[in-house]
Amino acid sequence: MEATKKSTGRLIKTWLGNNAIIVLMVLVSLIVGIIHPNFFGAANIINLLKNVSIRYIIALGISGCLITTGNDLSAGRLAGFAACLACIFAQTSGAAGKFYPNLPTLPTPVVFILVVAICAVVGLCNGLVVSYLRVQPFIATLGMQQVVYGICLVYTGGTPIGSLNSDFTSLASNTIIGIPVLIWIAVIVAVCFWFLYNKTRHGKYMYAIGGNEAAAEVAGVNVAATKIRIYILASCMFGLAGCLLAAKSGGASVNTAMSYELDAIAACTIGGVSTTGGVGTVPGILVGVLVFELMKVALQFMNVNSSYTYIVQGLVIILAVAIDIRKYLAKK
Amino acid sequence: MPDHSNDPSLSDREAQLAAREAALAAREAELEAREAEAARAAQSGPAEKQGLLNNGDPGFKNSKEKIYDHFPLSVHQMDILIAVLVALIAIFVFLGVNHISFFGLF
Repeated sequence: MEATKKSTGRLIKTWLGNNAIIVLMVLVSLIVGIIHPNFFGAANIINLLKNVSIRYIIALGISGCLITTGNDLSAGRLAGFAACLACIFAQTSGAAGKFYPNLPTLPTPVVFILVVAICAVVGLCNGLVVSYLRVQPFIATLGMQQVVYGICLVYTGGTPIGSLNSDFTSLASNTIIGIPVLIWIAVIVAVCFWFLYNKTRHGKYMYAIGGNEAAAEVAGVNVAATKIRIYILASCMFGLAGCLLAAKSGGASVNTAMSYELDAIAACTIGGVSTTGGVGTVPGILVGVLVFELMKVALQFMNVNSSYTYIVQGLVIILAVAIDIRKYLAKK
Repeated sequence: MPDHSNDPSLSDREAQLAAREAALAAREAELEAREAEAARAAQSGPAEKQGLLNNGDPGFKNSKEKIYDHFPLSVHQMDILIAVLVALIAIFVFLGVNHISFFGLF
C-alpha cells in the first residue's frame, strides 16, 4: 500500500516536472479567468487562437532553421513584406489610392501563390548564403532582415495599404463548422509539418544535421541541399503567415509583423526546440506558442503596465529553459 | 528377448537426443534472459527514437544534453533558482498590475 502511494506520488512529481510550464500557464489562466470571467469568453478564445495560428505558422517555419543549429531573423520583416504584397495584390478594383490602378482584382489563391513564391526566392537566397557561402545563419538572416525591410520601405513608400477585397478579408472571418478558417489552415500546416519532420527522409536529415553536421555529411546526407530546402520552406511559411495577417488586419504597413521572429524563437525555446540543434517537435512548438500568447493575453487582461510585460516575458523564457535543465539533471 | 543395449545405433541416438535436449535447454535459457531484458527496458521508460546518428546507442547524447552535462548547479540549486524566477515573475506582475514604480527606477 505504502509502496503504491510512493510510486503514485513519484509519478505525479515526474509529470509535474515534465510539464511545469503548461501547469503554470493553466494556473495563471484559471486565476485570470476567475478574476475576469470574460477571459474564457468565446470571442476572446477565438481571437487568441487566431493570433496563435499565425504565430504558430511562423514558429513552424523557424523551427526547421533552429533544429539545424541555424536561425532566421528575417521572419518578421519577411512576413510584413508578404503582408504588404498580399494587400497590394488583393486591393479591390477602383479603390482610391490603389497601388496598381490597372491591375484587376486577383483571386485569393493567386495572391497567396504569388506572395509565397516571392518569399520562396528570399528563402533561396538565405539558404544559398548559409549553405554555400558558409555565412553564419544569424548574420546572413540579420542582413536579409534589413534588406527585406529596405525593399518593403522603398516599394510601398512607407504608406499603409488597405482597401482589400472582401473575398480576401473573409478568410479571417469565415468559419468551417464553427471554427475560423485561420485555425483550419494552421492545423493543416501543423499536420504537414509533423509528417515532414517524422515520416520523411528530409525530417531525418534535418535532425541528423542538427545533431552532428559533420557526421551527417559523412553518412551521406546532402547537407547543403537540405539546408536550402529548410530555408525555402521557412520563407514560404513566413509568406503564408503574412498573407493571413493581412487578411486578419484588413491592411498592412512596413511595420507589420515587426519582431515576430523573436517571439517565434522564444515560443520554440519554451516548446522544447533547442537552439543548439537536433531537438524539437511540432506539438512542442504549439505548446510554446500557446504558452507565450496566453501569457500575453493574461497580462493584458490583468491590466499589467506594458513596460512590465516585456520583463515578465523574458523571465518566462528563462524559467522555461531552467525547468528544461532541471528536468535533465533530475533524469541523470 | 534380444539385448540392444550394446547396439551402436541406439547409443548414438541416445547421445543425439541428449545433445538436442541440452541445446533446447540452452535456447530456453537464452529466451528467458531476452524476455527479462525486454521487461527491464520497458520498465525504464519509452525507447529512444532511433535517428540517423543514434545507431541504437543507449548512451547517445544530443548537443543540448552535452552542454547541460557541464552545467555547474545541482537539482536542489536549480529548484531554488526556479523558485526565485517564479517569485520575480510574481513581483513584476504585481508591480505591473498596481502600476507601482520599481524603486523609482522605472
